[in-house]
Amino acid sequence: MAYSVASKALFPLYVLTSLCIVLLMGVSFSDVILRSLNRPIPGAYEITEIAVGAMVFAALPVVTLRQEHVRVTLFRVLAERYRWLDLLFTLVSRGVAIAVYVFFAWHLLRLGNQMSASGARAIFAGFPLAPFAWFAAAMCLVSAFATIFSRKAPEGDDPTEGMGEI
Amino acid sequence: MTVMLCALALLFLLLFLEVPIALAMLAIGVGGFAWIVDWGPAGYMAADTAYRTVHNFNMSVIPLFMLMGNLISRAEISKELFDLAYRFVGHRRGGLAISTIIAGGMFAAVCGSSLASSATMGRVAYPSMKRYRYDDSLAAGSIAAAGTLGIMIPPSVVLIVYGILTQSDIGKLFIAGILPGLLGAVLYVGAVVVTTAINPAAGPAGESSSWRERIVALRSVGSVILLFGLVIGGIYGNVFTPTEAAGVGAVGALAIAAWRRKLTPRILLETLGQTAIMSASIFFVLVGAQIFGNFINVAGFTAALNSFVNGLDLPAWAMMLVIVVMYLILGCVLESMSMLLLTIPITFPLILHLGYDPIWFGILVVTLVEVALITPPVGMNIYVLQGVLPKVSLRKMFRGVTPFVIADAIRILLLILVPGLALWLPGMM
Amino acid sequence: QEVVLRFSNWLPPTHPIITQMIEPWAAEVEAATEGRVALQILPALGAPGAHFDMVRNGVADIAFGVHGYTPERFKLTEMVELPFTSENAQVNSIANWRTYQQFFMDANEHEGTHLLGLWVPGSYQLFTRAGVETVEDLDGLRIRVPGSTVERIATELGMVSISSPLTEAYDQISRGIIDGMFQTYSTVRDFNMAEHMPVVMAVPGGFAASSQFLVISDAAWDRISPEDQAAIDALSGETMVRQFAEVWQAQNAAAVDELVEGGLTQIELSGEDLEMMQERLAPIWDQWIADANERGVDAEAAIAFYQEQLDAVAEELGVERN
Ligand code: NA
Ligand code: NA
Repeated sequence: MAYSVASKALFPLYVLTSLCIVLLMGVSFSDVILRSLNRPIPGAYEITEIAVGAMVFAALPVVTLRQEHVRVTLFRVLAERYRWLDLLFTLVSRGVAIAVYVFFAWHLLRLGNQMSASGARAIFAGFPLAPFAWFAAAMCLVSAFATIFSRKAPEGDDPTEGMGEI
Repeated sequence: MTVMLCALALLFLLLFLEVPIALAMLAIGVGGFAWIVDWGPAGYMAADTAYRTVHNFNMSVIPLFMLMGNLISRAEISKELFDLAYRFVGHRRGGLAISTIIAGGMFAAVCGSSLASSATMGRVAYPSMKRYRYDDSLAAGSIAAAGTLGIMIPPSVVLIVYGILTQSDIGKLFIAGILPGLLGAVLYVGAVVVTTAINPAAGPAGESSSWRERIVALRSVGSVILLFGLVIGGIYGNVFTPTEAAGVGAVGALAIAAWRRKLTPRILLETLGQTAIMSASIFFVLVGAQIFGNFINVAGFTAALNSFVNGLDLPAWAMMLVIVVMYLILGCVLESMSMLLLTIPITFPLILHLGYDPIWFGILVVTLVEVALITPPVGMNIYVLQGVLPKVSLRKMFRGVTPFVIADAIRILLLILVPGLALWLPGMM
Repeated sequence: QEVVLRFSNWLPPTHPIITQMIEPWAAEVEAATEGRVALQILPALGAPGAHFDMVRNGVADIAFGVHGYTPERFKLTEMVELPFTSENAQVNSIANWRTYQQFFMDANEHEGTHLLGLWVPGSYQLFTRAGVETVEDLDGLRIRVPGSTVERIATELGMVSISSPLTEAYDQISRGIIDGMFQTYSTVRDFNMAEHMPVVMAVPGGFAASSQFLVISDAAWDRISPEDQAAIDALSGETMVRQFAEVWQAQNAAAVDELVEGGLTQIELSGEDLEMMQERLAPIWDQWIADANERGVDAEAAIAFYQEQLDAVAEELGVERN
């Protein structure tokens, strides 16, 4: 129940991260085409950087909620046999996750503040960079909450889903 | 050194307690850095590394090549590739298994991921093998092995990650993977031939096809050849950089999937979302590896390891043998991408120190990762197959991959003895 | 007591900056402090452009870096990047250091750190593919630019500027995706880029330069005793600038000879062509003066002093300014 509510709440992030990939593809492809016509997109490389970063951090809460993080499942069989072991796994992994997320949220926020103070900007495209660090911080904080409601995503139609990455 | 060993022990403890690999590496990396330096600097290092690793131009290759592979999977080209291979070798003993390997190799040329390859090949090839009463072990083994080709034959997500971690030329790595990938396919075919020679009942022959049918089947692979030619030919022929090739390849795959009418808006969103989630989970492991690497660095572990190895006074080939055996053992218990990310910060400076070529080592490591994908008890390709073929027992699957693991062992030996296998093609660029 | 300073090195360990500048300097510091202050050279703890802030935040104690990697941040220090200064790295670096001390030190652009030295590795000239022969040929040429000053220069000259990280730039030049870049002779030689860029268009004093620094964090500096601080200071500042820039100057001079021997075509602009070039690039200077004045310094006076020093230092060293 809580999972499906959380899942719905995170749907905008799912769409955002998807749009970032479209942007990546669009910028990369049209830059190749336009450059051959001697009209490169100014700051194409900075837009790409921002799109990759936003894609990754927007996906973080979704990855966390659906437990799509890569993990070692060597002792899964044991954990399924002994309840206390399963409970231990759950407590330790969620505890570590929340601690790490909160730590990163705090330090990304401070990084953003420093960037804002020193006026860090994209060289060619001209936009300020601090908001993207703040966005990353916010996503870490959301992920800390998502950890609490996380569970393995229900079986989808695609068997590769949730099976790591290569 | 003591700090480092405690940290490694703690890291493995967290990993076995099912803490996500990325988060375990982050926790130990930050904690260790703070232990040696201080919490303030550790926090800044962590945030800065996380921000910069992710907001990075060169990283855009990962989601774009993943997208290309996922779109090609949606385009359902694999069935036609399998049919094509079947028309040519189906009438031989073990022909269906051989077709699976060949189709897997062709599919690998447009898909950068091994899991997507084995899942796709599993759906396509298994029903036919069932119909011809193939032994389940051989069927599952050949599908899992065919899937591993996905990360050696370019494009390859694992080679990209290796390139990023070690700052090696991704284009060169791709080109270097072509011959070892083809060699892998040939050796896998050999494994099928030997298996069916020992036990002919494992893979009965299918029907033969006329040349007319063969020519008709050839037409279907046009789009695959076109896309591979565009991406790899573009890199090899110096038309664009690997980063740009990824963008072009993704658009090409989108066009193919749309042209074959396999895309609805819903499926498109699903493919994009899935790609983002898969790439993001790789990125976090990468961030974890970078931060863990910074801790290893500041702890002076690399220098200590180098002087330790110097003290051993072993010849370089013996050290390489130790490294290979270590990877084979780790490959049994660790998921393959994490194995790569955990070990490269330690082994890469070592092999440079020993005087090995970084491109060659990349190909060797990816071969070792391929083995890890199919060795028990943790073999990702096998788990994927289990999802596709729920009726085949794990034991049968692992028995089925044995001949292919032997084929891989031969390939590793050849790679070590003949480095030119990997280095000849990139040297011609 | 002993102080070990963590130096984060983002360059290859065999780079001249490490082997001929940092390591010898570290040995001198160790000798001068009788072993109480030592450098521990570690592989990079972060990205090249992050090194100033890494030092400020204590990730590394001491680091070398390039101002242009964080453009607009070190506006005053960027003066040395302007066109037509001096091609001799040593002349340019020393004149720049004296100007910085007199006019910019108080603006404290390197806040949070103790600045040990500033220098340039020689000047950028314009390296391009074969076939470029005159100033007119520059129109529409696709040029990779590393930062904002060079981008303005490229734009003023009617070139198409393409922004890309250095790693990608090597790839792009070898694939003919770009037609050239502003570079120093030694970089072109060290990265074997001359085969793709066999023509160089040179102006006296260079089109631009890249300003480099060595800083130590305030926190690490405070760990060092006053006597040892004084010993290190004696080895820093103009002494360091003179030493480091001398290495660069030798590198560049050797690179010019090697490249020319290898068939590099040199087009040295003079007469009308040069006048036209100077006229077209004049706005770059004006822009910098306006920006610098905004930061509360007397930019005109600083530039006048800098120009005067360029000639004075050339005379002191007994070399040509260009
Ligand atoms: Na592939
Ligand atoms: Na395994």
